[in-house]
Amino acid sequence: MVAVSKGYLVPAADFAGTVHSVFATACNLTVDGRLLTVHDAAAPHTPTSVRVVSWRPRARAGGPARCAGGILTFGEHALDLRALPVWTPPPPPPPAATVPPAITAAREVARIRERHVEARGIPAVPGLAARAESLLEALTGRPRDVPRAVAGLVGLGPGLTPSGDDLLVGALAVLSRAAPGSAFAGSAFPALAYGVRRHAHRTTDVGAHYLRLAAAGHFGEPLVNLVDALVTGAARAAVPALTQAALRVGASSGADGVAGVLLGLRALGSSPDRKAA
Amino acid sequence: MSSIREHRIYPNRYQDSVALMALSAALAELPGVETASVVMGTGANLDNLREAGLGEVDAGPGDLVVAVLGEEEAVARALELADERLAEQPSGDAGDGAVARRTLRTLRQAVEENPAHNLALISVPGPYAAAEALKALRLGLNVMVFSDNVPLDQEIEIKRFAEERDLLVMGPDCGTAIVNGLPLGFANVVRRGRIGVVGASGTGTQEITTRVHQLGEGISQALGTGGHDLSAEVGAISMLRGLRALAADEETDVIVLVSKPPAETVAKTVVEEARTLDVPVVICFLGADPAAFGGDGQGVHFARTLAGSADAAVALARGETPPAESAAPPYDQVRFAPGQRYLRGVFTGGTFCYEAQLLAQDAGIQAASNTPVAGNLALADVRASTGHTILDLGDDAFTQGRPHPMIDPLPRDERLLAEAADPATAVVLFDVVLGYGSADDPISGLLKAIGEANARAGREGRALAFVAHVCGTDDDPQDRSAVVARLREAGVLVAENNAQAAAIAAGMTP
Amino acid sequence: MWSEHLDVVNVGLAGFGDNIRDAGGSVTTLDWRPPALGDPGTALALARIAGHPEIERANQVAFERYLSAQPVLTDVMPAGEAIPAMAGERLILHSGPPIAWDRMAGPVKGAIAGAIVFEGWAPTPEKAAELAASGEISFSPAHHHGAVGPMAGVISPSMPVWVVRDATSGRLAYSNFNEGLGKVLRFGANGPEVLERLRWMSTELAQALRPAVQRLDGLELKPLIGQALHMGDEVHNRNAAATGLLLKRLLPALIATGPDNAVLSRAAEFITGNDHFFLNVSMAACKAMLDAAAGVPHSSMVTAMARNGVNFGIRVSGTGDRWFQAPANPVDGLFFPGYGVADAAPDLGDSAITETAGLGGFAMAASPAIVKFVGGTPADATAHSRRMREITLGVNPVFTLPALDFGASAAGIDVRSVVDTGIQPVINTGIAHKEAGVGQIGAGVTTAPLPCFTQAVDALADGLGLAAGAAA
Repeated sequence: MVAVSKGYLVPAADFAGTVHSVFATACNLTVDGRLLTVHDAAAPHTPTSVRVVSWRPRARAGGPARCAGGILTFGEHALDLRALPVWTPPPPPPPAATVPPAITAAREVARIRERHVEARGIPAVPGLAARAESLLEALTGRPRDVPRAVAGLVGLGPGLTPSGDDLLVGALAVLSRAAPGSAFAGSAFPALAYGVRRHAHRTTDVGAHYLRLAAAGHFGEPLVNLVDALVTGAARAAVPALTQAALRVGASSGADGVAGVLLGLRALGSSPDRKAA
Repeated sequence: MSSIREHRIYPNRYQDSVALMALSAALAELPGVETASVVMGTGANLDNLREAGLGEVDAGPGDLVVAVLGEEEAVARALELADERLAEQPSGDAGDGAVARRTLRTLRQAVEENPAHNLALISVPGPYAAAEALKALRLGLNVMVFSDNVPLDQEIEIKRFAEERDLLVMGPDCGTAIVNGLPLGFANVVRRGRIGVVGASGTGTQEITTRVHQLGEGISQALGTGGHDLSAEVGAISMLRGLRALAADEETDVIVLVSKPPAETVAKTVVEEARTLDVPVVICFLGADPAAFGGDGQGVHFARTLAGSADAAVALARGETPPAESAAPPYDQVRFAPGQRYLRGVFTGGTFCYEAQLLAQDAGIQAASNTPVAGNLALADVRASTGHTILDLGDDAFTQGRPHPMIDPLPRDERLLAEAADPATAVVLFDVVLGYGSADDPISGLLKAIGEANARAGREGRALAFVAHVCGTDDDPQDRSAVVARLREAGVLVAENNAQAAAIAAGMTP
Repeated sequence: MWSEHLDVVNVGLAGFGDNIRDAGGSVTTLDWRPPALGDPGTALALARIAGHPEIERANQVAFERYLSAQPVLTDVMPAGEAIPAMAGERLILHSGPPIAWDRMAGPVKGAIAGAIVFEGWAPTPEKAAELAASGEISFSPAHHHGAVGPMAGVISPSMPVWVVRDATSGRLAYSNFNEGLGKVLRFGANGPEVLERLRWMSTELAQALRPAVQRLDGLELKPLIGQALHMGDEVHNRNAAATGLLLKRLLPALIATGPDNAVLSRAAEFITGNDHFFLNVSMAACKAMLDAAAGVPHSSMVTAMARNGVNFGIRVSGTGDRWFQAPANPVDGLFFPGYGVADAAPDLGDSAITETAGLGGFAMAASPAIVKFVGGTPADATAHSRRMREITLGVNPVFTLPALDFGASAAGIDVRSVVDTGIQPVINTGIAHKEAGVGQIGAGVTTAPLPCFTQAVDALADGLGLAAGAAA
């Protein structure tokens, strides 16, 4: 196996840590309280992932992981990270002339997501929809209730990254990337990020890792690409493909993340900016 | 019927959401189950469990929680199903659709498929065994090599390789082991307990572990080293390692070492190592003089017989002083015809044959054997017994191209019949070894042979004494009590252990 | 280990595995068979180099070089100009590992005789054969000169070659032009019409193509091949889509470079009439990718598989220029009407370079059409592609296979995995008539013979001082 690229937040300096969990095509490593994911190149970048080709993880959870002189070793693997291409997300897009394009495209995104959920047979997590509505209400009307609404979502649902976490990440992505062009997003993002940081400890290690990254404005490649296209209204034709790519993340994480994006868009749409436009 | 609720917590177990949801649904569909949920133990999820009537669960976000509400039996079934399904490998091989089941040919594929593998049990033909062992070690697996006929230089190579990697190698030629309660190779079902065994002799280890079980104690680990480990060339690499590993094991209070006589310098090293440990060590070097190694004391107790070492270990584990090794118990003497003079031993267990020869020597009987102990005679033709003869039918001389007599007892039955037909034979001594790996029915053919032998002897005016020992436990698949009862019914004198059987047989011999 | 749950791999007697399961343990029983064709010495050598850190590191380097190679079609020129060793020499290249004239297979001898007449070194094929036997002509494997050719693979100095440059390393690779089907030199035919066509190819066609190719200013071949895989080619035995894609790029350049209409028409007709036109370009691209991976000390990655009509040979990155050879395996395939196994020449040609690079048989799942041609079902094809992953260092993310849910094609054959699993690399191949000049009589699937790989394992172990005889 060979490493082919890495995310921009993968530490460049030497480090030591442990193998956190092992899956069919991915391994999570814990490094200084943060998570580093080594996964197949078939999956897209996250800020903290190393993509490798042709591998099946051969490592045991709890085993040591270390990086010395740019060579990452864990389990049976040794990966050369020295001259790897680094994926860096583009800077947040410049403000769009108008917000409406995002809102119209949202309908299409929602349709694609519904089809995906149906095709994959992803069951609904009890309570998720109601708590998401509470978050939307808090974001758009009662900012002081945001942390409480976040608390209801963090860690909700089964799995490695519970659905509530993925949904929050999606919503944060929209607010973060829209912030330069939207006064509403500019104030809603820090409020939501604050709530998320406060409650991140209440979910799984992996969920908490991605929540903390999102609260600092860091997102995976498919989410960045989709959200940027939506909030700028550019590349309208690419939206279906970008939505599909975002949906393909994980087993159900993609669908939850896109639900979060839709929630973020609804927040933007019902914001004063929208009304002014 | 009243409902109960139960939950199980799996720390640090991660599966994807869809798999967990599917599992929740599968549990909920079981008849008698009202509600079931499989989630990570985050606060939000625990709140939901409570609301769903699944009770208070004390778990952290890193724990996987399975909670079920329903009829008692249904809940138990659901938890069992969850346990099975969670043990399965995560399936989602992203990007490759439905993966056809791989045929696993190699160790590497097996470990790729399931990285949790941690021991390789190797029983391929000897010429290939060291190669498989090396590959297993490189993959980080501990190794047990059942295969024999592995060249000595290759044995040394794999043992050194394992030392560098801090891994355990049992064998080559390691017939038995019990690791973490699991029987490997030929092994008996014994309870878990606080006595650890490191054996260079397979049947020796089986005798000790079964006797410990019969005396009410249990085995923490029984490690094998293979028959060549205590040679000067190998230098007891495995025995020293096993000894240290068991000394460091919190579950082990007493250690038993067992071997046919080791190379003297190697034996000294082992004994010296044993004296440095905090745990008492019982040493049984069959046929060696304990005085050569400084005798009892400093945490070391020497035993002369296999059974004696089990007795000593049990006493030490209970904080008692090891008992004196007992002589033959009383028995009814058989009236032999004139001309019936000899003891004939027909063994399937190599160490039993060895021990029997030593105890017969104590009684003044110098026997011939295909595997003679010091002072005994090598049999010129292994097919023809002369005078007192004690045979190991599991030796290479008898097993070329056929299964070991512990697996296929027919050759033993035939030989026993032949010995009994010899007018010069007085006493026939044999062993029956039970446990995993051994024949499912080791004695039906044997009883038939004894019946025939007695009938013929009766016709010819002779009386035969059959003396035996059954190595096994009542929990073995073959059930020792049942085997012993059938043998006694056929007139066989069944002793408690091999040493007693040998002492009785030697005593009976005119 | 005492605190761990014991999880056993059972290698050998299945009964032991059953016992462990009965006792409540976890166990996987292997479908074990003796590795290394049952040679205990090689089995031990293999075990000593399995997972060996030196080899793992070397493989990482070699595989990375293979992956990062960027083959680009840059030029067309006469072999004598492109390949330094051929300049002004009576040197003829052939496919596969080295072989002397008197041992060569019929189709190769026929092709060489044809090439000698084509070069004007002898007046007739008969005289040419005498000249070849006299020792006046030098022969060398094309592989020794960065070149590859299908079937007989004969390249003489005046023949035009494709020039493919690896943009990453700057290394060059070559292949001759594909003549089409029927009576052609690569199947050993050397009659007047064959030589006539060769003359036209080396003059008018080459002169027309050269400026056109130069005008493309470096045609990237990996994306083109990746696209062809999605269009039903495996770019070894089926090149219909790739030929179309190449033509799509070439035609505007050809027209722009302005040959007269008659020339243009003949060139276009020739290319469009030959679905295999791209094969030689594909081979040169594969050669460039694999040469990039060659010469990494201790690497166990295969960098060439080729047949000379007598033996099958492989080269391995860590063992330099050595060939490991064994008699070629029979081809399991379908024959054209009127032909049968008795007519077939042993497997022949450098085209297995495509399989070495993760294409051809390795990418068979991409090509349902070829499956029918070689006798099999689509399920066989996906099974082949999947099985090859058991013996490769990895996959090539640029070559994805729709039938495997766009999973990448297995690439980078590791000789150790071949010897350990006994899985032989699968090769799609054409079947040549054993007599020179009859041509192709069928197609099918064959495999690379295991003894090549066991020899390579022994050599790699020897290179680390770990051969079977050595004390480790």
